[in-house]
Amino acid sequence: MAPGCKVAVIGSAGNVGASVVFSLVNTTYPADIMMVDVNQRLVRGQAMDLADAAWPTGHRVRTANLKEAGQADLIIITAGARQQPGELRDGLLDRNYEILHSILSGLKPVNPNAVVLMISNPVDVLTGIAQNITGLPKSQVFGSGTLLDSGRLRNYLAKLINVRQTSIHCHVLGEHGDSQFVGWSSARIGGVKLDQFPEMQTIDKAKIEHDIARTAYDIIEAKGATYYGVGVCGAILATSVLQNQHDIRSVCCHSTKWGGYVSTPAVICSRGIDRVLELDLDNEETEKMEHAVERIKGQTKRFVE
Amino acid sequence: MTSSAVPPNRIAVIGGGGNVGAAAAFALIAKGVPAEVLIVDVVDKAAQGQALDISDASFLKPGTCRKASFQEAGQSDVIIVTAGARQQPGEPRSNLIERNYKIIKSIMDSMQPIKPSAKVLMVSNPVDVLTHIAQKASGLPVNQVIGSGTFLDSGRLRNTLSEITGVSPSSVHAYMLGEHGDNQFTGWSAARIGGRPLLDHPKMQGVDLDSINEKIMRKAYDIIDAKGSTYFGIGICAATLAEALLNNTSQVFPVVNFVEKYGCYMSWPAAIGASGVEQAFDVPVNAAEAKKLEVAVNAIKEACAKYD
Repeated sequence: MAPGCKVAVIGSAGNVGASVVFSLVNTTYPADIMMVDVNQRLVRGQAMDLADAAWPTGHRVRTANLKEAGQADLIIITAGARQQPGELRDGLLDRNYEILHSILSGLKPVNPNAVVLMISNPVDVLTGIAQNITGLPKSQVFGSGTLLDSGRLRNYLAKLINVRQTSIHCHVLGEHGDSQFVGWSSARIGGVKLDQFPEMQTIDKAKIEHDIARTAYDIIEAKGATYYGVGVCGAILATSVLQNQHDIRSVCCHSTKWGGYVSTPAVICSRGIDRVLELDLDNEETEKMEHAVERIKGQTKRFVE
Repeated sequence: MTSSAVPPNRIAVIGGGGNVGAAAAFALIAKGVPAEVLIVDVVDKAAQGQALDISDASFLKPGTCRKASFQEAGQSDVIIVTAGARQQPGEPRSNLIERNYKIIKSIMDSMQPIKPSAKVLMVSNPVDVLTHIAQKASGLPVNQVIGSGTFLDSGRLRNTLSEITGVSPSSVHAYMLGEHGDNQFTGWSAARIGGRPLLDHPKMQGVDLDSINEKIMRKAYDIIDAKGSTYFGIGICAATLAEALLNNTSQVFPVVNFVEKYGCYMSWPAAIGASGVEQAFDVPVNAAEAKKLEVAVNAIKEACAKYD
């Protein structure tokens, strides 16, 4: 009686993973959702609570082990230590590498057609590491990257210009972290360049970029952690994959042009990344992108060939 | 500067800084309800954090979310109340009710004047009594104040019956009824699958009905034991009911509503829409169930008597 699409969420005892599942059960096309975590008792509790939430839409929610998760169509990884108030994302890397390595070993042998979606931070580096360790094609391993940041940017611009978010094409690029930047030069609303809107004439772009990069810290300061925004991003990307939607989203993906994993818009389908878009970047943005790619590569090299 | 999509509908969550309130608010956004969801809480920081996080989740959805005041909540179309005192170990129920009475009175007073067409959805426990208190304290018509009641328990029941019968939970029509608490009971004799009595289903033969009852009553404790509290299940229930109230869907749910026949607020099926309770449905019960119903009604009436 279980729905056909199998999604595994690894680390779903935690708030982010549980929110990914909670977001999924609010979608209307049901999936078979496996919740995996080292904390068996907590993940069982989360699964029971989420099964109570899933019955109206028909999603199946259950706990599972890594081996079962390795056979899913989509494997979402949220496991890892979380950012402490004031902690930079880099501080997480060493701790999360160990956790990721252990997870990926447990998944083996991974379904060769599985798509892996990395959400744990620092996401850009961990996505590259995950691809390297699993040996899956680069197009099948991607990360949530700057999707949430792009969403925050669109929320801001939507209020400013009074246009719905989905009609605003503007991306946050680079490394999901303090050095992320906005691709202002390629931004358009309804085909019109963003800079041509009167509301943009008095805007401090650097401040907007800074505020968006800081939003996570603001939320952590106020409520201790961030998970609802990230949770929905996980579900948005899961839906793109499971329903083969060919949406364009700003995600961490492997770019041939830049020679590594970095956050940039890509077309998402059932096989993962269908193609990576090559945005028009001005000189300043190109420099920032190169800088981001170097930073990500540098940190990734510490752990993989 | 105005917000991008300005939906005419407003749903306020009083207690939105807490886990249950935030889960309900998030579910409304995630479900794609095109409403402005207001987070209202006496703890400003928590309300701000939840509003920011849930607003982050709204970028591909039609709804919006922000922190708001009690006055703004009072002007909303639907007011969900998840705020309330939690039972302390060993605390008598009457004590808990008295503490919550003060909180609800304070909430209703802070929202005055309340929009005359507003519907209140009480979620805080003990929900049956608190729904009664909310109606009195708000001054709203009886049919405009309901409580989540046994809706969640009925969902748990359907999940269990789905596992047993192999039929989707939404196609198993069975209700838990009466009081959301120790005296709730299952309406076995009225339960149906595909138009036929549930108890006639081959997979239900020899099933221990009492143990199913117990398992569902224990579910909340099992979840709390494993993860500390419950909020996803109740969050979705609150969001589903709020959507029905907002969008006048007239779906039938087992919720706390004022039942004329028994003269009190209790969990009993009702069609929920823009008027609140649009229609009431009287569940046929057998002799054994009627006894349980009487116990539940008496318990609720006794607890409510002090607050008439």
